[in-house]
Amino acid sequence: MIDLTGSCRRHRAALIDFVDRGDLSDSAEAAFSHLERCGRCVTELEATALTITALRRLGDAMARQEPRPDAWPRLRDRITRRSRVRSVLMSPATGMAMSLAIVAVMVIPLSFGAGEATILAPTIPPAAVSSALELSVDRSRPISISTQPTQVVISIDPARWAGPDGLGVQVSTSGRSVPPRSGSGGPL
Amino acid sequence: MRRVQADDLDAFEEFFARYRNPIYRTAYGLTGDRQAAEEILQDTFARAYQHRHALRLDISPLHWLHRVSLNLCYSRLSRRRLVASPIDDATAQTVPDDRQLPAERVEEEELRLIVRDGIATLPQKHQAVIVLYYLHRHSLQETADALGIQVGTVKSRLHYGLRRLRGHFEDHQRIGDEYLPVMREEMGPKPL
Repeated sequence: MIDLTGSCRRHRAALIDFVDRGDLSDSAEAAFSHLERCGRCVTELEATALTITALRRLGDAMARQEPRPDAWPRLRDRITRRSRVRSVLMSPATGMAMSLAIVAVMVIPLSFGAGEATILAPTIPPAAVSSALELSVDRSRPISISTQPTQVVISIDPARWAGPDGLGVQVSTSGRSVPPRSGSGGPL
Repeated sequence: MRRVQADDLDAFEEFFARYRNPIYRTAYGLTGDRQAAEEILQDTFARAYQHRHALRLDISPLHWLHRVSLNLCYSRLSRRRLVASPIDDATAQTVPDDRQLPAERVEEEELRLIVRDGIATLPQKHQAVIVLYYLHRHSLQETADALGIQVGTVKSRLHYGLRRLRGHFEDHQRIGDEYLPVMREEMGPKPL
C-alpha cells in the first residue's frame, strides 16, 4: 500500500516504542488501527522487532562475561611501570644527560670530519702554494683560445702550464679543437 | 574522579572496579573474543589513566570509556578481517553451553558477527546509544545521562540506528532464511 498521507511515518515511532519498551502512548491506539490496514508497516515493524531481538541476544551473551580476576594487578603494573619510565625520562638528570648526548652527537662527527680532511688533503707547505701562485701569474697565458669562422681552438702549452712545483697538476694535452656543429644557428 | 586526578592509585582502582564490567562486556560483545576483550579493557583504562587530568568531572566517564573501547574494538576488528578469521571458535569452547548443539552455536556466533558488523557501520554517536541501550539494557534516562544528551535525542538516535541496522540485516540473506524462524520463536506471539 502506498502511503500518500504520511500516516506511516506518523505512527511508526509509536509502534516502535511499543515493540521496544511496551510503551502505550496516547497515539498507540491510532497506530494499532493503522497497522490493521497497512501491510508495509506490519513488515517494517516485524523487521524492527527482529533487529531488536538480535541486539538483545548479543547483549545477553555479553552480560554473562566478566574480566579475569587479575585484570587490576596487570593494569596497575602497567600504569606504575609507565609512570616510572616517565618519571625517569622527565627527570633533570635525564635532561642533562640528553643534552650532553646531543652535544656529543653533534661534535664528534665534526672532529672526525676535521681529521679526515687533514688526512686526505695534500700536504702542501705554505711556501710552495705561494710560489705556485706566483708562477702561474708569471707565466702569461698558458692557454690560448682562438676563434675562426668555423671552429673554436683551445690550445694549452704544456711547457708553460706544468711546472715542477709539486702540486701534482699535469696537463698532457697539447691542443684540442672543437669541431664545428653540423648545421648553423643552433645552440652550442 | 578528583582523587583519580590527584594521582591516587587506590581511587583509580575503585574507578576501574566500577566501570570494568561494562567496558569488558562491550569489548567482548563486539569482538566475540575473550583475549581481545581483556586487551581492550587494559588499553582503555591505561588511556583513562594517561588522560585522567582531561576527564570531565560533571558527567559520567562511561561515555568517554565507551568511545575509547568502541574505537579499539573496531580498529581491532578491521585488522582481524584482513587475516580473515570471522568466527571465534575458541570463545565457544571456553563457554560450554549444553543447551546448544555445536551447529547451533556456530550459527549463533555467526548471527552475532552480523550484528557486530551492523553496529560497526553506524556513526559513532549512534553506536554509543545502541550499545548502552540494547546491549547493556540501560534505560533511556541512564543512556541519556551517560552520554550527556536529552532523552529525546536518545530516542531519535535509537530510531535512526535501528533503521540502519534493519537495512544491514536485510542485506544478509541468512537472517531472513535461517535465523528468522528462531528469532520469531524467541519473540513470542506478535504484539498485535
